[in-house]
Amino acid sequence: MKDGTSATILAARNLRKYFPIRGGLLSSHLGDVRAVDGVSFDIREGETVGLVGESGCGKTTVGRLLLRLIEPTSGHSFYRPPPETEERLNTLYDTLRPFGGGDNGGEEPPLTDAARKALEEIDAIADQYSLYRRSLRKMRPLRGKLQIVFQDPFSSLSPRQLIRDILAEPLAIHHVGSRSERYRRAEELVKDVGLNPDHLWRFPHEFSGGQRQRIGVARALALAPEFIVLDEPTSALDVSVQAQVLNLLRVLQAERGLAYLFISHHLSVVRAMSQRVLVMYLGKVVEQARTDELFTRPLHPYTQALLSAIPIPDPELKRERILLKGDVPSPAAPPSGCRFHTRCPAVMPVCSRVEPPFLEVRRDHFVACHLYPEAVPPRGAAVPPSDGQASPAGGASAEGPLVASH
Amino acid sequence: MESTLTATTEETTATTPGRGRRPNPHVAQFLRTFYYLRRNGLAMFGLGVIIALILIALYALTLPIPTQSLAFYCSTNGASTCVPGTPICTYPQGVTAPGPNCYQTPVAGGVSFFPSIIPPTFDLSHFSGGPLPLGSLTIDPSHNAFFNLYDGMLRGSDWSLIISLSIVLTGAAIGAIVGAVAGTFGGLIDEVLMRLVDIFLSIPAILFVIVIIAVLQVSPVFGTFDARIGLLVIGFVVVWWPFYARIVRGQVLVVREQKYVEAARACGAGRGRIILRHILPNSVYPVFIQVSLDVGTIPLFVGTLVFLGFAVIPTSVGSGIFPEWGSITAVAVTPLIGLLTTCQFGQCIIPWWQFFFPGFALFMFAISVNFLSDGLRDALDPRLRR
Amino acid sequence: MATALPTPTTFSPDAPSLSSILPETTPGVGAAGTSPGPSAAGPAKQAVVLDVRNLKTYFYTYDGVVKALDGVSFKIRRGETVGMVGETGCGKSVTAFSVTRLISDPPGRIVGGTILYRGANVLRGIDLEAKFKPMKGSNRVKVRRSFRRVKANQERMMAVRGGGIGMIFQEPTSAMNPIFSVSNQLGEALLLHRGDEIIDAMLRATPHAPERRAVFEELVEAVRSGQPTETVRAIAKKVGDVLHSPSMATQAFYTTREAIASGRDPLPVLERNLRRLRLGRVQRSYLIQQRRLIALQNELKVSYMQEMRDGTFDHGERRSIRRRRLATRYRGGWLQIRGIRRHARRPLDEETFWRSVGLLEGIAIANPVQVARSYPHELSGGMIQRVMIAMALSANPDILLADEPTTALDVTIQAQILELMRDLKERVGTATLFITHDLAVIAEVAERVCVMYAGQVVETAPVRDLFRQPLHPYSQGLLASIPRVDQPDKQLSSIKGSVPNLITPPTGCRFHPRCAYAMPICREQRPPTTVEGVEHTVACFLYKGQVAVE
Repeated sequence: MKDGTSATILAARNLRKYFPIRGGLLSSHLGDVRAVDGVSFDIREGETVGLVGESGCGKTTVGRLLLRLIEPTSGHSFYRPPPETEERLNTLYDTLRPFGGGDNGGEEPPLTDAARKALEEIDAIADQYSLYRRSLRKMRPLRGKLQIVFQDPFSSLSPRQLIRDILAEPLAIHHVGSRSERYRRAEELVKDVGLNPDHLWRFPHEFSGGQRQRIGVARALALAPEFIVLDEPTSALDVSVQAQVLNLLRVLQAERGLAYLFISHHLSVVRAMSQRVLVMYLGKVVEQARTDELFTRPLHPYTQALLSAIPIPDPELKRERILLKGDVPSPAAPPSGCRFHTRCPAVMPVCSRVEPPFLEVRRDHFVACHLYPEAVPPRGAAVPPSDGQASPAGGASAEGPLVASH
Repeated sequence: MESTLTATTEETTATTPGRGRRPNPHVAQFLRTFYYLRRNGLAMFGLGVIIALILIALYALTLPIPTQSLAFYCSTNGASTCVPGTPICTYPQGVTAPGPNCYQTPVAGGVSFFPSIIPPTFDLSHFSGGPLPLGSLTIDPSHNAFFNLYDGMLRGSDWSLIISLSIVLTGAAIGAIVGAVAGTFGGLIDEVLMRLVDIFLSIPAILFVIVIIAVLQVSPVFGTFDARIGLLVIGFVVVWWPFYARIVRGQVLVVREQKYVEAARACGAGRGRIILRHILPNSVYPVFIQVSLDVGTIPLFVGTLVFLGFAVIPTSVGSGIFPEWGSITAVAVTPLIGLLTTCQFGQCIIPWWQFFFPGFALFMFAISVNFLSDGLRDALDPRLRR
Repeated sequence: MATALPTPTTFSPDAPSLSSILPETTPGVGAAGTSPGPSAAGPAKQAVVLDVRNLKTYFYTYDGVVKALDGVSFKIRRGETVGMVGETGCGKSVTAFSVTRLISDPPGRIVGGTILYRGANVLRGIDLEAKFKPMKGSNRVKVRRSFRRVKANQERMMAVRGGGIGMIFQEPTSAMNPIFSVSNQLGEALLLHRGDEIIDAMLRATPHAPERRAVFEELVEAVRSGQPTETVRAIAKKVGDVLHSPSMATQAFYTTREAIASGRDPLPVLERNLRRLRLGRVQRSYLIQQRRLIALQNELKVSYMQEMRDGTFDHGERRSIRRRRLATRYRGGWLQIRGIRRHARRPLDEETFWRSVGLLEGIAIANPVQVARSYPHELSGGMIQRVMIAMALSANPDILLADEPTTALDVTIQAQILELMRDLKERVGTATLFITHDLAVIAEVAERVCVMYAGQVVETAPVRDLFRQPLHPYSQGLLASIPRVDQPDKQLSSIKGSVPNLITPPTGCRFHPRCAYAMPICREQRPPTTVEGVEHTVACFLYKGQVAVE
């Protein structure tokens, strides 16, 4: 309950997902693709969080991790922790910060006893609240509450099922109601998203992309969710259809108090839909702020470049464009230190050696960049692991943030 | 121009001609495929032939099984009627008729054999099971059994369809299951199963079946006729299923990555449900095509086997006769060698109709199945996407 | 990258190309001219390079006749960038493919209209290719095609494609052949369109020039002493001049740097580079044979272009060309024996390699030698798209058709590519037809815009006028529905309904079912295109201007 009164639905902490690369004769482990490398944020009721980044930055993986469609390599995601537990977690994670969050093993200074106890306590809380500790059986009721709408309207609906079957299926999986009741509910859902009940008797391939996307939304709504991950829901759609779908999503959110994670690389759309935005690059969150703040005062050079790259539909507007050199590095071999330093227009020598910590530079505006060293680290937000040099050379001292009391 | 959420989007890109109250969309889909198929002339021809064949086979099921062999016939009708050189005038079931139903039994080189020498006519007057002139008596010298060619062809259609269908469907079922399991589970299971598939694929089909039959046919377990047929079927199934496993696995790998499978998981579907409801129905399409292709190919293989001498016909007298097309052809061609060597030019009539008709029937069967499956593939594949 | 790009070695307005051999339709313009800036006052009076009038392209499918394009008209002038905007299914890609006659036949066919490329009728002979017969009882049509004629017409189009009209496509990752390296494919394009120039340069080269020693040493010194890149490049260019081989300049530049970086002595490396310019007898004969073939091919292309323009051609001339071509091939047949061919071809391959490196330099790729050696699957989408742009522009076409070139790319890469295209436009001045569904990108690149809906052009305007004052209700709807980063509180309105089925399109104006201002006449008649402002035309009954004259 950091700001305002909405409860936290999901609190992700230090999520990491590494995909192993196998190769060679015996399929030995060559390395890891670090798709998500230490991501933390909160999802609160009724709020839309935007997640932006380019391809390969890991945003899609984050969405799937939150829904436990894939298992994380490490990290926790706490489902509806009560406010006191949340506070406690924040304190615990604060104590772990100089040790790199304590979750990725082996690279930080050895843990003190306090740190070890903190870890144990986090572990205990995780047993109770973490999404990933639940048995698959106990996950099932949650599945309905945490839903997802996919990007591709063409492959997200089974081509051999009628629409009514597609919409009734979530209910059938959870054994809700009788068969006719389910079909009746499918009818309601179809009307909720603005389609004709006649459409229930058709196959997906008879619909246009926008309509299919609406059907995807209807399916997500079937079990009365509280949180929906929208994975680029309008990227495959035309502009006018996009507006329809976005308006639909907004209306639904207002009616039902849904929380959204809006993943997209279209920044203009994200700005229109979200209240808070996270910017990801190569598996890490580089900036996080309220939408207006991020778009008017972007701090991280990557965000700035991203914003300046968006084409604006106004031919009279002349802008100075920040052009990044080179291409996005591969997530299997991320650059040392700050991952953005190979392309950063404001790169400094320290950037290639030390990874910048994620700090609160302005109120509710977090950046991970060496350009902003003196800042108050956020409460409870995870800190990316430092790479060996535990005492950062030119940045926040380990003492400062801990000493400053909250 | 505000957006309205109520039902405004009536214009779908649907071209299905489904009018009226709730027509069953699955039926509509099927009909649509059929409409596409109609454009393909060859496929229609193939379909026609196959339908005709099925009807013939169904009719053939109603025919009584001839149970008598030449020896039996001879023994029941007096040895005088079976002396080489004297005409045989009866159909095994005891119907006597003069004229074209008597056949000379020539003697050549002291070897008594009874090739038919009456060319075919098209008098269908003895339709009810009597000797029909379309064929003539075909005698299988090695087993002392004989049957009417027409009769044999009718029953042959029966057998061809049954054998090929059972082989193909069993093989497809086994292969599909193995392939689906390998595809969905992946990892070690996938590796092991695929290596198993490779092992079976490396076995040359005909040789394997030959070996199995040759080895096992002396065993008393496979004495009965049905058991023999079963052996044949099993032999082929063992060699055939790996193709299906490969196909299905490939398709399952693709389907597995589709978003709707992930959506089902997001809704909490268990693995079984996902496999049954989502993966399998979307993976069977290539199996379907392959099945229709194989149904045409198998009878050729069976015919080859019998031709090579691996007749499944049991040696015991009195058991049912196996007039499968391939075997008729084989049986008919074998004495040809002897005929050709002993006959002077112009002296003997080579009974070409004995091997031509069953062989032609086999050919028609295989090729029409091929046409049909080609047409089906074209009709199903791109259109289904629209 | 926003800094000055290296001087182009291969992109220059003066580079000869096939199109410059051909006479102009309108007098007064020389080689590819410069483009007017977006703030050009008044209509540019440049020559019209592409004139499309009333283009109709239909697709004959099982479900009926899809009238993908139903009377599309637009013009492109020399050096200008025209944007084509519309949603999925409006026919913009079909337009691009129709212009180069790349429509798959079956099921598609261009059934009407004229396409004039520099006065030459691109659609010549198309009416003879097929006969149509409507089928009773359905909206289908039976099409009988004469494939012989189709093939012959396709052969004629090679005079236009590539050298006259270049094209880049939407999905960069699948646009290149994965089994050939980048330099291989770029080299193929170069040989096809500028092979004569390249071979001439090779034959004219002077590898034994005595002045080379001095220049080599100057170059080595410059690199060793860490001179700025521009200086080094200038010296390398001098090397090329001395040896009369522009590709040597590129090779010298990169090999020297690489040698010094790896600590070796560069002078022997430079001397070794010269080996490829020293042509043996076999190699020389191979080059001469290829040169002759290219010249004959060019003659054929000129003949085709003339045919497309006048409708006449000289049978005898063509026959003579083909005969000479056959003779050249026959006489040079011994060169095709595998071992000999490989030996004979090597200098050409190396030359095209270094030329392709030069091309890649021209589009500001940081490490062109490495990129040239790599295969498409090793490159990112943005890089491949840049390579495709280089390939398309290497032939120095008059028009570049860009079919959604940046749709599949990330925003920052898109910005790079747009910047590149803008820069190339200023340098080379190729006219561009930029097709996209993203209005924001159009605002950045285009000077004039055509808005398409359901196979018809509904509005054409200079880009500023379109955004400031869109006339057609569809354009208004489009603009109202795009979210803008700089206007966060903008209400996103949408256009009700959806794109119509093109087999049974709406009668009259195709937009009327979705139009808020629909009038009864809209259902009955198709609105004529009227002129509403300077270069601003609309097809809507709401406006009663003067009907645009074609």
